[in-house]
Amino acid sequence: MTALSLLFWLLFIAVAASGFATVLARNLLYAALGLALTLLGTAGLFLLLHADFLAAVQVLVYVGGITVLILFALVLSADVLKKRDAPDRVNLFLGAVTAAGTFFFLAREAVRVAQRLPAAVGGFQPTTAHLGELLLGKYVLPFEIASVVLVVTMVGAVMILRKELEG
Amino acid sequence: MNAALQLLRELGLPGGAPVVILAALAATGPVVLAVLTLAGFQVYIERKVCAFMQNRIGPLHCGPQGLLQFTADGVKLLLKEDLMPAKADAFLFRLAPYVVMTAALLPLAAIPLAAALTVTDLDTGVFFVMAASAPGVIGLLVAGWASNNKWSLIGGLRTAAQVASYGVPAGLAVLSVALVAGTLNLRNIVEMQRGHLLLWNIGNPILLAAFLLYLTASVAECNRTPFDLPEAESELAAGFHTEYSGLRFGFFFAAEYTMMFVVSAVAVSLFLGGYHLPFGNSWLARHADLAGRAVLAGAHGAGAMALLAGLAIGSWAVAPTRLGFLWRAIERIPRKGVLFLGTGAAVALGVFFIAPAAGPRLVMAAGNAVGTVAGERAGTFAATLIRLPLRFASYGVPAVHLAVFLGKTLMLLFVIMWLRWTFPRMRIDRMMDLCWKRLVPAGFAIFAAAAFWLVIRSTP
Repeated sequence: MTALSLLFWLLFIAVAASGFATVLARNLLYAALGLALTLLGTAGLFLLLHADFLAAVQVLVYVGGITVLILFALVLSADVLKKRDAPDRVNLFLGAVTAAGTFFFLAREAVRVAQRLPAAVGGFQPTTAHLGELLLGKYVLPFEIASVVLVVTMVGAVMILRKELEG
Repeated sequence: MNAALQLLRELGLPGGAPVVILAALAATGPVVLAVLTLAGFQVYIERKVCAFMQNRIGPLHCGPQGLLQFTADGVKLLLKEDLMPAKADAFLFRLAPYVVMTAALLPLAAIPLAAALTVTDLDTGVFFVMAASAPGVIGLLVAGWASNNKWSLIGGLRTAAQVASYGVPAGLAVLSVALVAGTLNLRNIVEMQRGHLLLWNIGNPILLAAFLLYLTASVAECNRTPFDLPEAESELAAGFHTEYSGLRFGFFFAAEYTMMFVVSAVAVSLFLGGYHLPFGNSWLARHADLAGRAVLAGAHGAGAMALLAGLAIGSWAVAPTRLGFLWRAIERIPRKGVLFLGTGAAVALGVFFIAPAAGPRLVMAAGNAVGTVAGERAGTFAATLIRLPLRFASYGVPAVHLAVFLGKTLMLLFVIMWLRWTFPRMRIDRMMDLCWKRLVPAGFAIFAAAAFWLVIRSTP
């Protein structure tokens, strides 16, 4: 077993375990922290795939941004520590079916994509400059549309909140 | 890391992943240790600066001018009882300091300390620095929540809100530099500023504004006065670390100073020419070897003296309890003995630095004079041994670079301390207003101006 595959399995265990912790934790704060660990582990997997920029984005946006927002909301609520009942059977069944279905389709798609990919290229190639050229060259229109959509969403959220505060 | 790898190869060790990881550790370890020591030293500087501004004297009694106060403080923190509130969330309470510390130390990996001394020369560079320090907020928030204490909780919440908000203007300032430089790689950004003072990024009026923006925003990101609302002692006891004591408190404390060092180092790299001298870079290239030797000799001497003094003061601090026997043994050495030891140490240091020049020649000359095989062998052996310090001397430019870089960073740290002791704390709503209504628009304006300037510059 090479060191890389050892790293992969360690990350895999970390991601899977923290994923389960996210779903199964009774304490909401632990669930959110499990989510943070899952996202960090995924960033590690990105690094193993030589996607250094993507890994940095993952940590900055998802761990440093979104998880912090979730934690912020959870910490403000007094219900975090309240003991919650186990989900009833119907919900448990529906949840299990949804999870299994999603997993099945994603796994099938992942295997299909993996077969079409070219064989691994030896050595580490930095991706940042190339990504930048693609985003501001070939894919500049989708990139700009995405940023406009995000700005509209942000302004819309502020407007809705404002109406609620005034009304 | 590359330097460490090269050294390993020269030592004849096999390549491969384990060796690479070991090399990474070997390269990272000294940097982390050095920065943590510096964090301790920053505390001393901070107290002296504060005392100066308040017309006091500051720490005075521990070592010359109180210079060793921080070692005594460190030992004290180490020996204090580690308390935890009964109703605290034990696991998260213990976990939080490590998260904060890791996030404070990780960005160091990408900061270029000298042209040949970048722990990892990352293409994501400054972006990595921002990403790696991002999870620290989680640690502060969790520390506040796990303490099960309303003041701690509010402190943690304020930190999260503050860091998330001030990350926006800081990011915009960094983006402006990246836009002008055309790269995120910190070493390339520094290399572009080679030359003289006006070629530094700060010589560009637009980026000068970006520098001021970055400095303001990063002071807030470090939770320093005038933005230290997370631990505002008049309202919140001590904020998120109210319940922490002993070494766990020490972790938060060291992490704060490490963060200060990191943001100053990033600002130096982005705006103040990094490790480049303000002038005379070509002169440095010519005289690097000599200058490097001088700097290195100074560093070795200072390091050795600091080590000795630190050990002495450390054993003094714990004398009554743990190391009493050692102290009594030291006391039993007569004054003449101390003098003798000190002289011996100085002589040894001197030999270490003089030997490379004169040592092998002397031994070889002696060997030739004797004219035996053993004499010649001794000469060759001495020459081999002595090549090691000579290797160090060949790192002359990096040594000067490192000194310049640390000097600039310390100057910026002084500015941050200056801010702390001259400005009153802001009110929380005003602080948020400052960020979102003034700094963020200013950031966008600077960013747009930088883009505009680039367009004008590229159109003939």
